[in-house]
Amino acid sequence: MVTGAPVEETEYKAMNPTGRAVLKAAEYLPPHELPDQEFPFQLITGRTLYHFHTRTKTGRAPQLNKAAPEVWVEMAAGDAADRGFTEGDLLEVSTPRGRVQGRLRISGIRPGVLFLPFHYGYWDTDSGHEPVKGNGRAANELTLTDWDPVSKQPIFKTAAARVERVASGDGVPAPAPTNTGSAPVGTGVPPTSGGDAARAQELVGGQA
Amino acid sequence: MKLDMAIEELHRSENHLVTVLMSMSDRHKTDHEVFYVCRDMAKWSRQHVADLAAIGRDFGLDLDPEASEDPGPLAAVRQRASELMGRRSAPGLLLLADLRHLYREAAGTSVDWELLAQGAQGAKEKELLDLAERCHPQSLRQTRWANSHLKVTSPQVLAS
Repeated sequence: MVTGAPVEETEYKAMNPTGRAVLKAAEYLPPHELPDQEFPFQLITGRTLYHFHTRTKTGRAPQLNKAAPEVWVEMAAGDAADRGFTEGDLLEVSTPRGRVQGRLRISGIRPGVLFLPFHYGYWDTDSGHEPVKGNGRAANELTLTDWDPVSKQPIFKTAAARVERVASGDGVPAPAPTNTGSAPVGTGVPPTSGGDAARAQELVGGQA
Repeated sequence: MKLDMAIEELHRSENHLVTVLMSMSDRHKTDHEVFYVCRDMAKWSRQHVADLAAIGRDFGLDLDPEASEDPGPLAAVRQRASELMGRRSAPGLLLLADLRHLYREAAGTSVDWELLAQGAQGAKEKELLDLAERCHPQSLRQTRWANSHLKVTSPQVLAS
């Protein structure tokens, strides 16, 4: 599992599988980048329900776009309280490779872990392909260029990161959906809803 | 009994493998899979060096449990050079040469483990046999990776 070297035909035949599957145990492997004094958080990147990949389709659907219009950072309530951060504060998350700015959503995430959605690139920004004045929003700029040698899956869940506050949120909540994983821990955040424009009525055989 | 000689020789070759793997990793910083897999495999050899030093004491040997490695600045220079070279065609040939070298070194080490295991079994040295049985598969995996990565890399490099 460490090397990804294939099992040759003769070796496979020596196991005498006769059509049966061969299950193999894999040892625990520590990540290639672990948190330390300088980068104390584990950074994971991932998805939100409302978008698909880089939002080239979902970003153009008004209700989906409104549900999650901009990048945000998720942090556990305890971690935020330790640092005096509140919902909506503008934070800068950085790793040895890059930095991203986003508003804070205090969610039910595990303590010691930061989450960034990776949907936000630059195609719909003024520059078109790069951060404007160094204010990055693409979470992929922060992750390691590393993959699993067996499956070649990129490793997006084990970067070490640090976080700093750039500006206070002044009561404006993070642009994150209030349901799914990004559900806020505190109250006072207006719930995500489609609004009247999202309502649909279906008539089957002329009857509602 | 010449088991001490076998342990000393293996200690030397595993030590050398650490250097081979780490310098190879540094030289191919832009080939991310080579960079990380070589580092992961160097960890095995580093552990083997420590284990051999520990068991060597029972055979009257005084071996260094720490693998002797290049100083940090040299590794940093190699990595930087690799980044500057980037993805030009020359590093492809260099990678083939490095993989070939690694394959031969790892295969030699693997045979040495085989010898040590046979010797330990003959002399009924249970602890030494256990160590050989634990380390030999990892040594084989190093060889196998070098071999399979040669197969992956060579067509592109040689046919272009």
